Amino acid sequence: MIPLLFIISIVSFLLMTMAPGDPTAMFVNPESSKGAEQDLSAIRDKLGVDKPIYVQYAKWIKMIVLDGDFGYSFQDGRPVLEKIVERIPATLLLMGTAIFISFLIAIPIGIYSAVRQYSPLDNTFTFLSFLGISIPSFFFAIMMMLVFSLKLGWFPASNMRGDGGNLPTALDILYHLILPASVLAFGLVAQYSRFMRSSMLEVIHQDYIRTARAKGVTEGKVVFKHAFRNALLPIITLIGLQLPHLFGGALIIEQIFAWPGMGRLAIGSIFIRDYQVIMGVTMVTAVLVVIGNLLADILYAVVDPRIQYGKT
Amino acid sequence: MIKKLTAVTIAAVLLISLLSGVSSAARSGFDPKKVGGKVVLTSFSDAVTLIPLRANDQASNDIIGMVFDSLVRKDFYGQPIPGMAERWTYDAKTLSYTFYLRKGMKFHDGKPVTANDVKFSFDMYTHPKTLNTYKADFTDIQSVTVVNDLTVKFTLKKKNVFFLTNAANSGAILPKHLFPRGIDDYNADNSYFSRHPVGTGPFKFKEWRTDERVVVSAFNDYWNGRPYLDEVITRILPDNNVESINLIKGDVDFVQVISPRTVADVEKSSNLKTVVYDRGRFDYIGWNNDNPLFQDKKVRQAMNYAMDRQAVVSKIMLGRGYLGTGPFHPKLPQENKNVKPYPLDLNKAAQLLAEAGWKKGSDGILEKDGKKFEIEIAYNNGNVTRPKVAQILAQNLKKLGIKASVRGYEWSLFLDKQQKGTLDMYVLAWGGYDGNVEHYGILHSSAIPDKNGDGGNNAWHVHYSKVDQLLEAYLQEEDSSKRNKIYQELHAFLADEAIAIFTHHPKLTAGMNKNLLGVRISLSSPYFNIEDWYWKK
Repeated sequence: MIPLLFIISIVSFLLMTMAPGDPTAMFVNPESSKGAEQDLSAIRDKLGVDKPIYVQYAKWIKMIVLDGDFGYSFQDGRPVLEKIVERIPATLLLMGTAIFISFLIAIPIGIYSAVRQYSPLDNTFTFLSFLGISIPSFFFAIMMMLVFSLKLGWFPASNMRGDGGNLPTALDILYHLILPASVLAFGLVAQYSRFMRSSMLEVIHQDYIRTARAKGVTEGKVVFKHAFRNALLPIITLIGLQLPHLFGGALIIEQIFAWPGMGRLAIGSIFIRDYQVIMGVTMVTAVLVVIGNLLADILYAVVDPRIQYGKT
Repeated sequence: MIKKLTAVTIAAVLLISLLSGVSSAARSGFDPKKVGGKVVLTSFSDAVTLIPLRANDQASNDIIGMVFDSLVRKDFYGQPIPGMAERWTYDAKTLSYTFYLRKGMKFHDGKPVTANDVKFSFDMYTHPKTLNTYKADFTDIQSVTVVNDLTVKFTLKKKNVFFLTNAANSGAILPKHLFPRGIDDYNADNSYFSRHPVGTGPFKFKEWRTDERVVVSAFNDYWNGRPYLDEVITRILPDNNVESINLIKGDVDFVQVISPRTVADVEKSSNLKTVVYDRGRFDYIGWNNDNPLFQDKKVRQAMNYAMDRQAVVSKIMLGRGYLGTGPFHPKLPQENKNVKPYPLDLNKAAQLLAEAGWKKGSDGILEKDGKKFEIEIAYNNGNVTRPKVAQILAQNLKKLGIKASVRGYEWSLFLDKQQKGTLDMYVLAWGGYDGNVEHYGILHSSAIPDKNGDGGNNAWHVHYSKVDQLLEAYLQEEDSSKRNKIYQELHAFLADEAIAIFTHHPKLTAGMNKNLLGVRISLSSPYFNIEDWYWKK
């Protein structure tokens, strides 16, 4: 696990520093007459970005390994960890809601589609899932915003909070959450339901299902007791793999709905080449991917007695 | 002359204070019935730091402008008027300004403002270790001494005709008692103060939620009377379209700039109104004048004759703009009215290129010494106007036999290349100036950046001894009409040399709630008089 993270860090550091653009560019704005007459070489020296890449990397990895520190943002000098932690609640709320709702909706759809394969409703769901998978999220988000926010005026278009209207804070946040969470959920339901459908289909054609039916077990019991529980196994893996999304946020959706989460932090720091923050966000996500996979493997063993680790 | 000026200044100041009754309770014309309500503004990016002069971004500076105040303010036309100093005197012999502070001023935490705070603030801005972003504006200050609690004296190293409107105006007064470690606290990147500022301005800081909003609220003890609005909320929204959606939906009350294509939607809404205003800015297509392609004046002039400025103003800006002739806004006295915009004249352009030695090759592309005339016109991605401006020029250049292409770059990359001088041509703007405009930093030969992009903002690599002389003389001339003449001369010279294609000066359109009244937008700031904004009752 450690060597893996190490390699990830090297690759991302290289990609980031070799990409064109200069972190000090944000200190000059040629569009403003109040142009900062800053000594850019001094800033480069302070940030250490004038050093060769391997020196920069050595400095960064030393800071991580020895001090357990993500360093300070180039932009405002705040600790990277503080900037990341500050974003977690917003992202967790948005992604958690979207993922939770998606599973709630996708699992019944998946089961139904498998049991009534090629029925008109299954075909409809299939059509909708392909739509959900293939519509670019930024387009769908803007459409939803135009329809539900601008035309119908049901939901706010941006941000996580209103400006102190009559709603209590929790309801206010919920009110702002609906639109971005639905857009995210639409895409996720599409994926999860396809996954559930195929997983369920695979199980339904197993011999023991036929045996159960042959024994005269009711169809409901066959589907939910025999088939569904077995079909859930791959879904559990899927849940484990959602962990990085849960904390990593949705880059595009957060940007469009001005949701103050990790995704926006990532995009913002990439645009201004804030290396420390980019690395911080990348590493947090990488760690979560690794943990998510590990968790999925462990869960798999827990729920499926056929799988055991360490014994051959 | 100086004495006379000083006398006039004092007389004017006295008159103003008499008219306003010298009361610190309220400004003249204050109407208590207008008090109340909050207004929601927008910003594309979150603030970075709220310590004055540490930030160089618009979002931070807009908030800082509401929370902090300075000795001298500027009126609508950019002229100096009394701020926290109720009057001042200037002694030309010793190059010193003496400022007399108003009585009874307070910081937002209730502590009184004294001359010590003024001295402390400028000590921070001029400290050898200071991270003041605009420290170049403060280099002429020799010393700041406290005469008594309400009097402070500034001595300059050399004459600086913009001292009042520059350093004395941008040098916000900091509370000394909140900077116990002095310069270390001022320079600290991540201090409590940088996210919870305390100033003396019309609004006091209330709340900052990262990437969501910054809230400031009315300061009741403001020396010039409290602002009418109870609260000003700045919401962080990602782009122009989202801003417009929020404005139309009524979640936002004021948007500084609405793009030309959404103006119609905003105007359709019965709750909104739009206001067209001038901003001190010029838009241009620039190049590196040291690029061999552009070293010949005839080529540069040909580029200018190939640009259809009228199409930019009428087709892209939909009529909201002025034709460009140079780096001075037509509403400013520095503009030379005799300089006419280059007309679109492709024949003339072709003739100039031929005179410069460019001949059409067998493929119809212009050639000189075996080299083809090929250029790329760059713009920054996300900007909706600039790619169209670039296209207009590219089409005409193609007619002349120049292989011209148009390309968008991501902003950070664009800035990097532009500053290093490696873009062939680029579409950009420069702005936010008023009658105190001075172009030393972008036109003086000492400000030409090196290959790393360091050393100044003269990225168009303009270097003429005549330009340097005019820029220097302008900074030394006390008589404003003579001073303006100097820049008028500069304007004519730059236009003839065709250092860039000055395309247009856009008129901007702000969108706001119909019931939001009292808004006056100056050449340099859309929030010029935000303390006087109020809601129709």
